[in-house]
Parts: sequence; structure tokens; C-alpha cells
Amino acid sequence: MQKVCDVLEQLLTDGVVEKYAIGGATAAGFHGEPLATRDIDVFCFLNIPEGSFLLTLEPIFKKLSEIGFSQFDEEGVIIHGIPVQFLSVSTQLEKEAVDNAAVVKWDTHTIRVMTPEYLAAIALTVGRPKDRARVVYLYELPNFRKSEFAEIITHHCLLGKWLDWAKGLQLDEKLN
Amino acid sequence: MEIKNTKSLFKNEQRSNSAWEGGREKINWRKKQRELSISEKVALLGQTILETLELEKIKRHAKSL
Repeated sequence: MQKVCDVLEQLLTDGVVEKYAIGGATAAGFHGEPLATRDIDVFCFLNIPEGSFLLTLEPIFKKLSEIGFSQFDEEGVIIHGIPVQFLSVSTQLEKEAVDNAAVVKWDTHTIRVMTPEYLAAIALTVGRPKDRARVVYLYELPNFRKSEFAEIITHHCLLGKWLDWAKGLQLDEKLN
Repeated sequence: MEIKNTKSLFKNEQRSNSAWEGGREKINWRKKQRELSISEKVALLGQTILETLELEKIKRHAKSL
């Protein structure tokens, strides 16, 4: 996994992606305890060549292939044995989540992960059963900043959805 | 009949004790996970993905039998 982080940083330093952050269950697991998942979701801003109207992940796959990672499975590209799924940022919420990702450094490595508050807000917008479970898990983390979460969901018009979910999931809907 | 009831009560108590122990273990395990260093945490995340994939492979194989 450490090596995967290094490859992601290489994509950034080589200018293949403009910004990136790990999201999904891997990011959620980073803030608490590991959660079962089959891949790493990497949300990224792509460097689109001038004059191009087509948004494609091709430059990422090309670069990865050049450095020896060309094997795919259903979940994504295999990097050092781990499936990595690249997702182009598609909503304003995801964009903000990448912009405000936590950048954690250790030894010579860096990992960029979405914060628990943004992960919970994204889970609210997706709404699968596992997203409901994730909201509960994130909300109950000791380092979950409720005021930050309140700001995000208010800004993205998700307050109504939160109140519904909080009621259904028996969470305290008050966020102050 | 009385003895049966006592036995069943005892069993229930055992069950509830083991559930309580299990719950406590889980809380301790969670606490430990949150106290890991970044490098340990990152390594554990990778290991979790590999184990999930392995488990799915076993499940698929079992289904095909």
C-alpha cells in the first residue's frame, strides 16, 4: 500500500493528475479501523490538454503502463498487487473533498485522503445501504468534526437528507 | 424440568457473557487500530484489501463447487 501511495504521488509530480485524494472505504478506514473493500478509490482532477473537450483517464493508464502497471481487473488497474480505481471528480462536493483532503506524510511517503466529514457528505449523496453504514461509522469516529460536517452539508443542500438519515439511523441530528 | 430450565439459564448466561466479552474485545481492537502509526495503518489498509480479495476468491470458488 505504501508503494501504491508512492505511485500516486509520482502521477502528481509528473503532472499526469493535477490533484488527487483517496476516497471510499480506504479513506474511511484510514480515519478509524480498516473496512472491507476490494480496491482503492482515487478521485482526481485531470490535466486536460488545451483544446481538448474530452475528459478521459487515458493519460493515467498510459503513464501507469509506462512504469509497469498495465494489468486491469474489474475494479481497476493493479498497482503493486492492489486494484486502484481512478475516478474523475464529477461534482462540486467531490472537488471540494479533493481540495480539502488531509495530506499525511511519514518517512519519505505521502498519502492524501478525504476527511471524514467530506466522506460522510459524499456517502449522503450516494445512498446505498453501505453508505448508510459508512455515515454511522464516520459520525461515531472520535475525531469527526460535526460543525465542519454541518457546514459542508448546508453548503451542498444536504441538510434535509441528513435529517432523514439521522432519524432513520438513530443518530443525533444536531450538529453543534 | 427444573434442571433443564437451570441448564438453559446457565447457557443463556454463558452466551450473554461471551457476547459481552466479544463486544469488549471489539472495542479494544478498534481502539488499538486508531492508535497505530501512519505506516502501520497504511500497511493494514493494503492488507485488508488483499484479504478481502482473497475471501471473495474463496467464496467464488465455493459457489462453483
